[in-house]
Amino acid sequence: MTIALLSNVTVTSLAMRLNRASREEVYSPSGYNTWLQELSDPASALYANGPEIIFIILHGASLFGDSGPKSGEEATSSLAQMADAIGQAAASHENTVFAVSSLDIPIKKIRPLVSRSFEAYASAFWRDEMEKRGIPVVELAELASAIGREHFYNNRVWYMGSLPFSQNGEETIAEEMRRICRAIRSARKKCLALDLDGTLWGGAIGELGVEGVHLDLTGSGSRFRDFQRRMLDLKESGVLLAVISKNNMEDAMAGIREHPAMLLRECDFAAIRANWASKPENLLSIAKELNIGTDSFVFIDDNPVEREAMQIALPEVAVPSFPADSAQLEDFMIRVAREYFLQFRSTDEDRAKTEQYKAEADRRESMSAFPNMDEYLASLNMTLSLEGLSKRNIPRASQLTQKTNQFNLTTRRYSEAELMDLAADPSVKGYIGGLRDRFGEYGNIALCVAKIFDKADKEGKDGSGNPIKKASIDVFLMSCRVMGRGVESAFLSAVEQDLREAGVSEIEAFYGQTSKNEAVRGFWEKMGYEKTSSMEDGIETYMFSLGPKLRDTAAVNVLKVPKEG
Amino acid sequence: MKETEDANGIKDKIIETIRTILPEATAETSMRNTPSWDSLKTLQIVMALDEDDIAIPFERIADIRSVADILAIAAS
Repeated sequence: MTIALLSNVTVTSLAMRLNRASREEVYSPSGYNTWLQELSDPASALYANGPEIIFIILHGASLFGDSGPKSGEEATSSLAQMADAIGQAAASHENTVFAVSSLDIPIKKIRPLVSRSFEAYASAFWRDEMEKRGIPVVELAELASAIGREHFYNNRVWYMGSLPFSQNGEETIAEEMRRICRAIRSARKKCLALDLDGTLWGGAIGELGVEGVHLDLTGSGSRFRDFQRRMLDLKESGVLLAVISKNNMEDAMAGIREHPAMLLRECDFAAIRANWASKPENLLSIAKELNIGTDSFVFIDDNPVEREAMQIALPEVAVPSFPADSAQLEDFMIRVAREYFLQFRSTDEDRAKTEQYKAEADRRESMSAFPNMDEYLASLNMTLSLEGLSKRNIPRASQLTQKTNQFNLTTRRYSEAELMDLAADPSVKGYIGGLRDRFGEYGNIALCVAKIFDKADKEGKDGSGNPIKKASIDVFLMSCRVMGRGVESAFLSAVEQDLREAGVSEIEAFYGQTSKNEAVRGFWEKMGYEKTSSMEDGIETYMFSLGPKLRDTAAVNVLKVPKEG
Repeated sequence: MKETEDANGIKDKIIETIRTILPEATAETSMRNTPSWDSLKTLQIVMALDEDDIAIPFERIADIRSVADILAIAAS
């Protein structure tokens, strides 16, 4: 990936730090304050290497001359022009992510106490403009205020070389940009596992009772409520919350259900473990229940002994240290969110995640009422919708390639930009599958990318001398939440049928072995594909001739969604 | 005696900080004998020293040509 860094001031030093933090090549134009020209000129060096991300870091104090914006109109008209230029560049470079800093505009002009200030107005206007255009924001103003402007900026190097930021400031911005790069690649944790006593509330509920624990709507107990509020933000962004507490279940549930100041309630947790077993044991059982890897967990506990036990037993679990000062809890959760759960943008599936996991529990419960699996599956009234890849569903498609480990035949990870490229390629067919049943929506849960080419060998012609088309399956994956319901077979069947309609007569498929996808090793054979090469360098190759007969998809109705536009 | 020890300690600390920007730096390093030392590196050294509360006054930044210059400015 190439990163580009544009600014209205000198950012050579910042680019070097970003290069060190991200270990990626960083392009930064050599001219001073040429960012708008570079951005607006499609032939500029900026676009020569097709950067995956362009960061635009703006020095707010330099945008309006030496006195700051003199009127609201001046502020908004010049900012609106810049926002338009960014919006246009983003629209004409769909495969590049543009991330733009918020504006930190210090009030410099000496003013009476009663006077109008346009700085805050200009900053807020800028944010709105970015949001309107769907441009992700680098929280520069927030970083400056967190560190303090006197530590974030450095006047000496500013006057000497137009470098506005201090070393601390540059390192902080570079670190934030590294996190954004990671968020764009979706290497995001999935579950936040939380202790109760001393973490979600103060004190031990088993000893103090519901009324006695420290948690309140206002005053000192509100530090725990503020902490919970940020967890709720995470839940709303698709992170699963779980409880792992050494407590009696009834004490824990009394706190969660009855405490008047609890912000997180039972329905907010995808899993709750309150018992006397070890916490790593409980985390393993939650991982099994939610069907996610233990490396997708972040574990929060005020007790250093529990944190250390978790790190020793399950080193793949992220265990941030807990603040010694409980007044810092909310800030701590914001840092945890930035480090482990930063998200490029949320998808519909993220927002509905907890409900989906709960519907899953209802499904499991209803299963016991049926004498056999077939009857149970038929009762689900499953409908699979098959849709081509489009700008609308590519964020989710990319997320599926990044997050799916178990039911993933080739484990190819694609960024949104790469999938946009593939979707634009006429020789590539991409399919995303959505599933719903009588318990609710699963959202988009399956993805297939097939590359179509003419069969290269001598016999590669049909009876009329036309080339025989062959498809090679580049991606075939499905969320493990829907495994074992015949959905994979229905999805494959729908893909095969569409490929057949596109003139394909042969499909080449692969199984690329990883430490996590052993469960699907025999998938292609089960689907009637013939193995053409045994395991070599961890890859098996399969072949399938598309005949007129359709695959039996039993319990799943398939609905083909017409192409957009 | 104690003053000399303190001065040596500060000198070592400054060179250590300069090494975060110019990894090979010693007390003898200068722009003349170190081609990678350009004006940006000088500013980065000033920034790095600032983090250690060693402030090079604005008026003296342009005088910096060597580690010895920095040590002399810091000692003055």
